[in-house]
Amino acid sequence: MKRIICIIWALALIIFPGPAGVEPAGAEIQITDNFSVAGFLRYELGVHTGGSNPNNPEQNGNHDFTLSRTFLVTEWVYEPTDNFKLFTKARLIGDQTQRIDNHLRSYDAFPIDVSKNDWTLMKVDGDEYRAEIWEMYGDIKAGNLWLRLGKQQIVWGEMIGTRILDIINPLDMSWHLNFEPEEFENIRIPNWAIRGSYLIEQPFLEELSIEGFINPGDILPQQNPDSGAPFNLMNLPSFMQIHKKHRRDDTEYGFRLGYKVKGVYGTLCYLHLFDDGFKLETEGFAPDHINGVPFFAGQGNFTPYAMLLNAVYQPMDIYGLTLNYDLTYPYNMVFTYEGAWIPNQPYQDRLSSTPEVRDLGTFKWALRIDRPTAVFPPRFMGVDFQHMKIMFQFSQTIREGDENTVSGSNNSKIDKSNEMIVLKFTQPFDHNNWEPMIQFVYDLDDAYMIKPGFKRTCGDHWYFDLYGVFIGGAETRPGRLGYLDYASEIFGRITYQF
Amino acid sequence: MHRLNKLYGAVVACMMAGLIFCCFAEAGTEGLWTRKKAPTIEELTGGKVKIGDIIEKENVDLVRDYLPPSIHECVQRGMILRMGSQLPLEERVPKYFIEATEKYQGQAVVDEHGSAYLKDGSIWPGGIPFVEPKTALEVMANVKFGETYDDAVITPYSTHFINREGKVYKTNKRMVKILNTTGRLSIPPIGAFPGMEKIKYKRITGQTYPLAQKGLGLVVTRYYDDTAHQDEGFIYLPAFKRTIRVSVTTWQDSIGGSDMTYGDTMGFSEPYGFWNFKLIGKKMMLIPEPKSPFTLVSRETGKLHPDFKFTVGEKFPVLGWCITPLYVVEATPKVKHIYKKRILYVLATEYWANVQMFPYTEMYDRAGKLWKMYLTGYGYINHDDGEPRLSCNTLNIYDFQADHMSFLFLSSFWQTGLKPGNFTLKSLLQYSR
Repeated sequence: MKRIICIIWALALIIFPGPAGVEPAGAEIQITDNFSVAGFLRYELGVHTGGSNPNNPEQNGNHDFTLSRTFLVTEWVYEPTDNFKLFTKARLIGDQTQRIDNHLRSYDAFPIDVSKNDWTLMKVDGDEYRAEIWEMYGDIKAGNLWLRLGKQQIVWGEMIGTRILDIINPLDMSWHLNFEPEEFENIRIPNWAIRGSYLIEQPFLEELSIEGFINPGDILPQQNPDSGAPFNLMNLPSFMQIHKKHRRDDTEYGFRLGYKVKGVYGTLCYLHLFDDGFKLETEGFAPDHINGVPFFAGQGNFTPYAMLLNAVYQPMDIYGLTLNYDLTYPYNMVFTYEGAWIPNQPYQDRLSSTPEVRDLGTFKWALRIDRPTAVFPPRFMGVDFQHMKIMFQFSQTIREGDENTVSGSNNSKIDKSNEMIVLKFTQPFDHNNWEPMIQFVYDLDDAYMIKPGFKRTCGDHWYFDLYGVFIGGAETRPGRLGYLDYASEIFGRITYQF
Repeated sequence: MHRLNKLYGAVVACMMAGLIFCCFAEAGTEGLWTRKKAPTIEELTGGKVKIGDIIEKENVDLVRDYLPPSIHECVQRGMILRMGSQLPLEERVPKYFIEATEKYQGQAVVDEHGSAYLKDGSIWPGGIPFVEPKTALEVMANVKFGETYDDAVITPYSTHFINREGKVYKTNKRMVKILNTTGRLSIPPIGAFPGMEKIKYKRITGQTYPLAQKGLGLVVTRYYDDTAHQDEGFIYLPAFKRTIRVSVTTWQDSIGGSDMTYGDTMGFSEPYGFWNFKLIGKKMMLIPEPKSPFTLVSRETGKLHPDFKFTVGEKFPVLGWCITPLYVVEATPKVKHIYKKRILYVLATEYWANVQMFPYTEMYDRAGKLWKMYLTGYGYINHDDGEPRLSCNTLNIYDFQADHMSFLFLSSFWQTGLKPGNFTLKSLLQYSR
């Protein structure tokens, strides 16, 4: 802990220095002509409004808080020329949730981990704090070639909030699922990778470019909440002993082609990745007199056994496509399509008596329509109103073959297809000092999430957000939206940016 | 024979005289617009107002005939005007631009969308299309096709949000790059980039401050006929870390919550095809002077000069003002619009600028009441490529009804040699985080 405090003080001294040497320009701090630092200090509090988390049966009653976190995030940029840039994002985070809510039992609020000799994550952490280099990369531009090398987030696809092709980096769902208003920026786990793009200038197609990336081994899976955490998603029986077969040292890669033809911009891509979510595979049984159960009692053997399982992350091939088109004035509508065919999407095998993995071809697609609309007059009740941003999105997942041969989370039944509708309204007003929004997410099998909120900006440095997340509906199978009704909350953030 | 000789001599003399007359007459026509000189405020007021005098609420009636209603109202609210001086055309725009204007004079035609072409239908090669415009559309075509530069980098480009007390309560900053793909006169390729003849310009904007917006980038393509083929845009959203298609034809929406709409950019940048224009006339008026005693915004730091003064807190900038002939054009929308009309004040060609041909414009609400004003503070002559360029340091967009000001100040670098490759979707990543 002393080490963390030293780091915080060192950063504070650099960021808020004496009069010499550093010149604050607005709020960004210009250390030299080419070197600057910006960042924010934030406190975030989530108040629980849902029921008890069924995955935390040992919890002492329903918890009052879902989250209490403090962040100091700094972004360091060194840009000596237009063709070269170094970027580093450092984060210091403290989590006080367990301290303010005595209903919660002890859990690790920062469960992302790798072995101690694995230097690539560059972190120092405990159950309630973490200091880390979240991103660190260099950009090089040479003519039409652009390269980014380092620990980075790679985002392909164009859907917002729906992960069809935005699946290159895993997510850290451990502390706030995917409820943060910045979509995945704060939870998409950066990986070490080499990424490059090349603009192919020729007379036939506009914006023709080829892009690719290689992650040579810094592979992490999606990080779910620790057992006992307010958002915990899973409660495995104690007789199951899981050995995670991580994919570190394996290689992920992908290619993408971008082009524009007569007003339609599109991309085609191929990705070779490992599934972010683990599937269970049986390795065997071992006697366990504490947590075991007598699996073979029927055969006259009453010895309690533990089931030994491997949590495996299967390889996947993804073939993707995006298209977008702008229907200009007076319609001002943008249509965006994204689709992905995954011939070997891994599922849990439903037909096997012990956990095994089975592939099933899966097609995912979504269509989004965006339309900025003047819903209110530009001057309404003495206040100026900007255009309302209206977004409608339909997404669908379709599985080939017999869906009854596979199962989802917690052995739940999987449907042939799932459909989801998202409708979002954002209405900035008062010179963007206020930005209320409301988002409706509806699972056509009858589940919903309503997310109202607003952001209030006060000058250059301060802003406040307040959001509600209300989940409900009859479709409560694990892995589906309605299953998360226990996660309903109201959360707010106070941010000082510099 | 003698009589024949006399006759021959007379004919030769006449021919010589005619030739000399024609030469002088031709030279006079060519040079006429460049040599026109506007009177000074001292001459117009019979010595009541002199260069260096301060005009404020108490004595504004002395120059009322030379001010638009918006500036007059600003003076009533506390703005002060320092009487300054004008510069001749050759000190305001590049020489090659004057030569191109003269070379192609008389060859321009304008279509109903306000797009200028040569008579053979080819795209306008550069220079002012109509030195002596006869119609409002010709005046407007001059604005759109009479830019003197091939490319520009504007950085930093800051916006102060100023409340009714005159206090700056919010700031944002960005960087803008613009590439004219047609009408190029100086940096090769001259004329148009091959294959980009249907594009007027490309523009890329990268937000740099505050952090919540830092890395947000927008690339826009404006087409030559911007009514038939409307703007296209893509935005990089740093929070989402991806580039998505975005509608950039919402010209009536405000830019980042400021008082300026997308259509107010550069004074007026909506496609002309959606507007009717009426030429009110040509008039001597006071406009911000081309060259201030000091550069209003430092090119090195992008900060305001310490001697740059404001009144009513930081609401109204104190600028020098000089008499300049302007075309006054009334623009009324053909489509449903937040404005009932705009009054556009356009520099007469003999007082042309490198950019910002509207010293000011006025916007009226749907009830016909004065709503907003767009004011250009020129301030300095740039010589980045050795040629003079009357450049713009400040912009004020003032909402009279809300008494709210958006004050933009910028530092520009001209003729930097940008290429179309600097304006692709991939180039947005350069500004990303």
